[in-house]
Amino acid sequence: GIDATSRKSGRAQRKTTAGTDPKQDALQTLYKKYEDPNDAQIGPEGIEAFCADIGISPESDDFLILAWKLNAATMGFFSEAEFTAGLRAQGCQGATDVQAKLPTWKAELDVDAHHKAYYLWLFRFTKDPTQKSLAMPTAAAVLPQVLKDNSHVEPFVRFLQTQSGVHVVNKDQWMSFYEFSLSTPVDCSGYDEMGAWPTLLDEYVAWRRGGEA
Amino acid sequence: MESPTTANPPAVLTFAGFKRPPQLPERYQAATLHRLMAAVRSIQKRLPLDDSLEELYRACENLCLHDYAEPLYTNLREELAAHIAFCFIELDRAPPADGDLLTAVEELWAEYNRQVRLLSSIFLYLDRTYVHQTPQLPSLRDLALELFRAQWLQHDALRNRTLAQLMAAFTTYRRGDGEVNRASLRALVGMYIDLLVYPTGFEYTFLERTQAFYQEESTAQLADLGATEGETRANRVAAYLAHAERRLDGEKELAAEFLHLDTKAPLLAVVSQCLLTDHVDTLVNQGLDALLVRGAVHHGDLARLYRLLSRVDRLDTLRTAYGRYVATTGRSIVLDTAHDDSMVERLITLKRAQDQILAYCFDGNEHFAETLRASFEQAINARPTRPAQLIARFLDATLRSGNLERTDVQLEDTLNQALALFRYLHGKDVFEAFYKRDLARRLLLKKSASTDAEKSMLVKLKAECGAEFTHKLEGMFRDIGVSEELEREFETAQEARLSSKARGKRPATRVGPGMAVGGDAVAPGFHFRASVLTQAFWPTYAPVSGVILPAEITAYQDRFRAFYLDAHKQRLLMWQDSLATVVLRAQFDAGRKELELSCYQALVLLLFNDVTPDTTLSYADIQRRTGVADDDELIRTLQSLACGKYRVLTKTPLGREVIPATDAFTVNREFSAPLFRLRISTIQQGVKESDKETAATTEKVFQDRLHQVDAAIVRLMKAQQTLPHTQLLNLIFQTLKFPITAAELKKRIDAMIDRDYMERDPEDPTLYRYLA
Repeated sequence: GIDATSRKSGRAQRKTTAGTDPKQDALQTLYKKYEDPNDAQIGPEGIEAFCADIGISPESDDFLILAWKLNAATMGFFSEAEFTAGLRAQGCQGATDVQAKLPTWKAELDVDAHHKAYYLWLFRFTKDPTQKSLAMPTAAAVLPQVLKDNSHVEPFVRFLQTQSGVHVVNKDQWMSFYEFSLSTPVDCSGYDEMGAWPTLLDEYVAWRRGGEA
Repeated sequence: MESPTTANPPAVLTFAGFKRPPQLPERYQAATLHRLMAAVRSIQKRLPLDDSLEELYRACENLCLHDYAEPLYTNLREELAAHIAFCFIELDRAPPADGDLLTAVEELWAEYNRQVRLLSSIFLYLDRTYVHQTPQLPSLRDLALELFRAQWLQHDALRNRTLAQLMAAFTTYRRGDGEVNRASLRALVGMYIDLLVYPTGFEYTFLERTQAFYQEESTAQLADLGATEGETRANRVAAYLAHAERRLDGEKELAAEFLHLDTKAPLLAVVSQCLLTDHVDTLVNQGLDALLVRGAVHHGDLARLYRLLSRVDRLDTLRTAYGRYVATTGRSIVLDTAHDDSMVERLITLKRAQDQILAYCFDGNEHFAETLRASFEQAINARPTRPAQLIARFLDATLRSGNLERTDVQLEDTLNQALALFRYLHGKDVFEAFYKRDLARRLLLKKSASTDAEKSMLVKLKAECGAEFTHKLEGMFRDIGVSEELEREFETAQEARLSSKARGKRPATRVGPGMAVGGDAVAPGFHFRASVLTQAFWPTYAPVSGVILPAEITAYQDRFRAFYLDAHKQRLLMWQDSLATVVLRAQFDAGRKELELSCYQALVLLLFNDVTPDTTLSYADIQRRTGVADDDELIRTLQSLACGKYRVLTKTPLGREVIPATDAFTVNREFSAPLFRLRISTIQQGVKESDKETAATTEKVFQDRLHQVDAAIVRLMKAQQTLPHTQLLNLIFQTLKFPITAAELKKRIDAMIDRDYMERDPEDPTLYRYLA
């Protein structure tokens, strides 16, 4: 999970500062290639270039999964540590390794626990770092990408956009929807309004039961 | 037993025994037997006896002693059997008419008993020796009964006719429409008992007939009850209940007088079943409401209903219907929005009546008390906030009028009644908010009729809801007390100042929250009074800014401020001019008047002091000079001065409404009124306005509730650290003193999660964790 990854990268970072590893130099060189020198990190343009080099789209799942594996904090940016230590921790020494690893990483998401960790990480990653919650339009855009084939996603997104009146989705609502979408039948039968679900989901179910598809 | 001779050897008496037993004369046994049987027949035929009873007794004894008991017993049985068979044949041969049948049977039975008693005495020795020693041989009396029973059972026609007549006799007895020979009835029932045929031969049919009788009677009496209404129905039900009770008492007497002891219970059960149990639903559903709406004079009927249903163990039905009646009646009062003004009085009347009914009719039964409580609670909370507000208003009116209209005891009772209603409220905080608002007005305007009553009410509320509830109210009383003290101190401090200055003929003015009282005989000049209110205790009043007060008043305000802050540094004083009241002395052509005014009214009038007489001021002028920016407020004020009962200003153009764009005002010099002191009432705030105030008070209560819920959630989570969702909900419901829905509560939980006071457990979404 994420915790394991971050611990590994932490150790890797300390090693980086301590010795003179040839691998470090390779990753360092790779980092320097995309760094925005004015910002001391890889910015949106650098990311676009990197994505082009490894043959993925920055708007694709592939990119999100890569960012997840690097435990990136903010969309559109890689810090030096995230990039170099992250890649090293994943056993990558260059761009070709990333291409080779992608299918393995994708396969990891088939494990429920990993998928949940990925989902949770997406909340932090895609939200505006100055805000506590995720802007509703972002949530509406991310949900269909991360919860493919879940029949609650389409109506829930429609509910968010047209009915709920909410501007943001907070972390509790984000995570609760994950549990909800997995445990509640598509016709919402058996849903208990008195249960621990956040009110947003109560309202969604009421809306669905009120005749919405 | 000890005796003095114990020590001596016992004395021995020796009899010289008979050598041979005494010999009886020849044929003695046969002759004696014959003699005895002849006596038996004489007794049976009621003929005189040849021998004395003692001789007969001896004869029997002799026969027994000489081994002749068995033939004696056999002969006796035959005589008895033959005689009773003969008697029944006689009855069969010439059957008595229906009317005489019972007498005939009873006489037969009585005569037979007489014979058996006599024979038992004569043949006592036989019973005691031979019969007693021979197993399975019945005693003479038992034998006689057995023989009678055999005949009785053989003669079906007679037996059936007798039973039918007996039943008819009981029916007559019950109807009370004919003569009944009670002694004869008693004896006949006794016969069934003695013959051991009572359970099947009598009781069964008797109970069956009883049931038929009362089923028919009760059905007839209750027929068409549903078609009646109101008083008629109540009377019908009451009459029926009285009848049923009489019937039950009557049957109890009947059982005691005529029947076997064991029949009493089944008899009363049958009667209760027919008269009550079978009709409980009819009586309760169709009768209870009609009985309940009647006055206390008729409470006996309700008490009877309770007694009777208690007897058949159907109080639950009564209680349910009673609860429904109270809830429905109460709800209809509460939901009668057109008559909100009288809601509290009507609820009190209802409550008072029900308390009486509970005590006098329902035996103070605690289940009924609980039902009454629950029903009232349901009724009074049928509307969420209005009843609470109206109870507060009712108390306000009561405490204003105080004991002008009633004695102290009645006043106390009224307060208690209102408190009883208050107790049922779910939203006690709504009550508190309105009560506080009204109390503030009473205290500031000195409208309270009795400080004792105010204090008494406070004590009651404190006892009911705890010190936390009344903390602020007590604070308000303290403020007023302290303010009165302050006033005196301030006056003393001012007197030196005043006496050193020449006194101008200026109007007496009193400013500050507090109603001016009495003519100002002591100081004809300027009189200032202020109350200091602790903001946290009092209702929040919207601050008014920009109002231009006369310099004299602001000077006094400054002086008071200095005086107060000198003693209480660190405090902040804010003037609430909108609460002030003023008394002005005004000179009209017809004479001098004292005018009791609101602050705004006074401000407007005082403007005319500063201009030449007969100057006309336009609305805009007045607004500019007084600084009252709120048009609604200024329009109301001008209306009260120029369009109300006392028109001290003249408005041009004339009209009942004040129109800011066109209207102008001047002093009405011709103003006259019979009284010297006039209270110019402010125009009652329109319905819209007072609704606004009510809505604001209610809104504030709801805001406070949210804070309380949030606080409760945090407190519970902090104490427990982790709590499952359902448990948290339950704990909060227990904690809170006002109603809240689970949905509202969930919203607060959402908010607390959003504000990071707690989080959902990552593994178990139904578990909350407290975040320190």
